[in-house]
Amino acid sequence: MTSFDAHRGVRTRVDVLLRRAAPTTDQPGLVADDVTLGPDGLGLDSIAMVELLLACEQEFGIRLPPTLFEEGTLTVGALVRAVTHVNDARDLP
Amino acid sequence: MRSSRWHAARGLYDRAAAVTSAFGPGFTLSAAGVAGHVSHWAFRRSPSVSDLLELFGGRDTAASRAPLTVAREISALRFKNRAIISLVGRHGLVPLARRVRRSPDDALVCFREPARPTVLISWHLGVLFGAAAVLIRERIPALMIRQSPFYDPVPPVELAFTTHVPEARAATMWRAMTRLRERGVVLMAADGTDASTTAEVTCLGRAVRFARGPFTLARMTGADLVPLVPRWDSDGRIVADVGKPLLFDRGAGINEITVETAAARAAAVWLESYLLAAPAQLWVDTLQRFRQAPRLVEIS
Repeated sequence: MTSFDAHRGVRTRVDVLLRRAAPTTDQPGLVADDVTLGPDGLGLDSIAMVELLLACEQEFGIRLPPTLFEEGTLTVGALVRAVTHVNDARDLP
Repeated sequence: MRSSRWHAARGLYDRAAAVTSAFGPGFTLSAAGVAGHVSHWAFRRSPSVSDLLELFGGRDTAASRAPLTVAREISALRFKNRAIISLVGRHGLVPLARRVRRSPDDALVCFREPARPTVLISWHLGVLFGAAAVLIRERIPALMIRQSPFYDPVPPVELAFTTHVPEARAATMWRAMTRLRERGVVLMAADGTDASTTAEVTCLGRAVRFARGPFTLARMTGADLVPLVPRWDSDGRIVADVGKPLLFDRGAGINEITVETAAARAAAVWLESYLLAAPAQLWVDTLQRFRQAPRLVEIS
């Protein structure tokens, strides 16, 4: 499997979790990368955002970094990148 | 809406507190306590006897046996807290931390290296900024979550803020999660209700809601929930009243809201018993919030 395929696989699984966390999301296809998790994007409150991160951790069997929010507002794209990064690092020989 | 007379009086009081702070925090805080008693006696300031009887009436507590005394102690506490704002605003938390009497039974020392992750929950009771002062004095490396900055952090206590922005709140919660996963200690107030709240629980015959944050963190991380209230002792020192870890059902298969409601209910039971034993630790605002909360109809 190429890294592109792996990224796409992560992207699809994260999208399922996003839609579960924000059932009102009505975008066709994958939720866009630049959509934020908060009220201006998916509309999640702070606790729902943290629940989403925990759901990602559980889905992929990973531990997301404490620095996740350091770059400011968390977008879907940034979340997928973080999950992919940690997931790939875990799979290194 | 408060009157211009009220603001003028508060301005004068704050100036007096600033002047007396030159004599040291002990003198300032004692003077503030006396001013609170005198003010209540002279101007019949809030809380009134009827406020206390309405909240505590029918229960065997100092607030129903000697409501005037308790009302004056609450007034003194209010004045002391105003003096603390002036003191901490000028000199930071260290002078307040020096007023803390170390716990004789080591009730807090165990939190320096806790065996389990711990969420310390507090309420707007007792000594303003007292919880932070206690943690500093006891050298507990806790993450303290506040609504907004007022003072600089003093190691080993770190500060994080909730603000009103959901992303910032989530960042703070995530930081707290990390701390708890490392078996650390997080301190939060349970009665800030700007964001999500728990389901209604019963306290002092009222239906009240707490901030969800501490209960959510305890649920997500399996952390202990331990109540902590800082109060003044008779010698003018700050002491911490620390409860035992709250017991509530975290059983598998129970949904998250049920777990949090059970935790909030246990916290309300602890808070009620604390206030019945120490009604004079109520802040005036906290007392008024209780009075405004819906009264539960008792079914006989």
